[in-house]
Amino acid sequence: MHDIRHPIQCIIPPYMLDAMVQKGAKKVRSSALKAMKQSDHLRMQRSMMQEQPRVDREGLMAAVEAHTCRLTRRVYDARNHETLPGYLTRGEGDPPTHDGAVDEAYDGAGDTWNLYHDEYGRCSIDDRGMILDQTVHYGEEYNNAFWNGEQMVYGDGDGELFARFTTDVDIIAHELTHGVTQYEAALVYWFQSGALNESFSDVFGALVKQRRLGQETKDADWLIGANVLLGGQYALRSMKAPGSAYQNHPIIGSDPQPGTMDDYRDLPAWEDNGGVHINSGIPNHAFYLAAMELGGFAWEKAGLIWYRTLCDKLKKNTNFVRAAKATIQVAREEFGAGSREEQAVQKAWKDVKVL
Amino acid sequence: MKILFRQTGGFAGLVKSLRLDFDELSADDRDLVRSLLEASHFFEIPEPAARALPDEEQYVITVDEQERSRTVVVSKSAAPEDLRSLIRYLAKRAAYEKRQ
Repeated sequence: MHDIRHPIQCIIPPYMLDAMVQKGAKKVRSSALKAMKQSDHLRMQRSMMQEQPRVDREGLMAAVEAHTCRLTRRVYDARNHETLPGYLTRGEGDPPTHDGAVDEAYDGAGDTWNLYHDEYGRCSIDDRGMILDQTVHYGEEYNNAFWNGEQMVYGDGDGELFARFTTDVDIIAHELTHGVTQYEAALVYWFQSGALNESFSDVFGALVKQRRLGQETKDADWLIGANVLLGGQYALRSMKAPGSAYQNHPIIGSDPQPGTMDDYRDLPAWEDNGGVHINSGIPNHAFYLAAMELGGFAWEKAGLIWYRTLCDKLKKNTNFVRAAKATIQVAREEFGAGSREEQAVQKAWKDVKVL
Repeated sequence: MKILFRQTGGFAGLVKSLRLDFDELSADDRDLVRSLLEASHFFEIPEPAARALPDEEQYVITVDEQERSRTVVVSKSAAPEDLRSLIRYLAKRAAYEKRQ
């Protein structure tokens, strides 16, 4: 079975556990007690620490933060300028503001944080309880959203081609996942490693949306940006059928994403960083195929395999083939050699002609 | 003088482009472009970082004059302050490319 990380067991020193048992809230106390009981090694460490008491205050605070793992969101308003982070508009626990963009960003970041925390045991973007900072109303009629290395940023859209970029929860989860990737595989944002970086963001974007809607694989639309691109019948990307998200659009034409290596686009570095938003269609489709084969809720098996791969198996310059092999290895480790899960992942990558 | 502008990247992965022929601009636009270009120090700025942050826009700008020509590849966040007004102007005038 998979091994979800429990920070209390690996980060918090024994003397801190003692303090938690004595002074912590009920939930903290029970976790601390459980951790203490479970580990002989911990008890040995505790006796050593009692002999040499040293207090590392920063370490203590980090340990407390890591264990309590609270969701903390801050949504800022750039008031149509491009200065970040802007004006703090809604903090954690604050009531809705009735500014649609602010409230969508707040809710979407919460759903994303919950997927990572509840399903994979991850504590925020950095797995150390990082505050989720987001800025809305960035720029004037700005047709984009991005991750700047520290926070998520969303434009309002021009109202003609695009709606505001918080309108789809998968976009919010996509941007937040760029942060997760930054702290894990740190996939370099160009060519195949960049397309993988993009694809992981789309994968967890789709999973957050499906989890919010309580959808199983067969019921999901597998679309990214289904509302942000105005006009009803359009979306920005389709994981189910890359290249079909928008067709014959009066302004932007047709979706150029490939679904298999047969249509891989070899683009120069100065063109979308070597086509990171184009070729991501191929690993996106591989994830879709694996998830469909496995059925049920996509975040439980396929999502877990992709998450563990992102955290533990990839180097920053990983290409499609190495990423494919890594997901198969994780499927084997998690579910057993020759398991249905391993076979489904292997078949998916073969179907998109990466393997 | 000609200016070629191309924007790629961004969450949507769309392409915007523009070709500005100085001779075809109105007198007001000529003055504006000339002042933006001078303020940007386009021919003097050091080569900026080209690689973008996730989902950030990437720009390729070529300015072609009679005696000199230069192409700069730069991401939105890496653009020098002096260059940003010119980029904003060009991006606003640029049109999305219709892909088939």
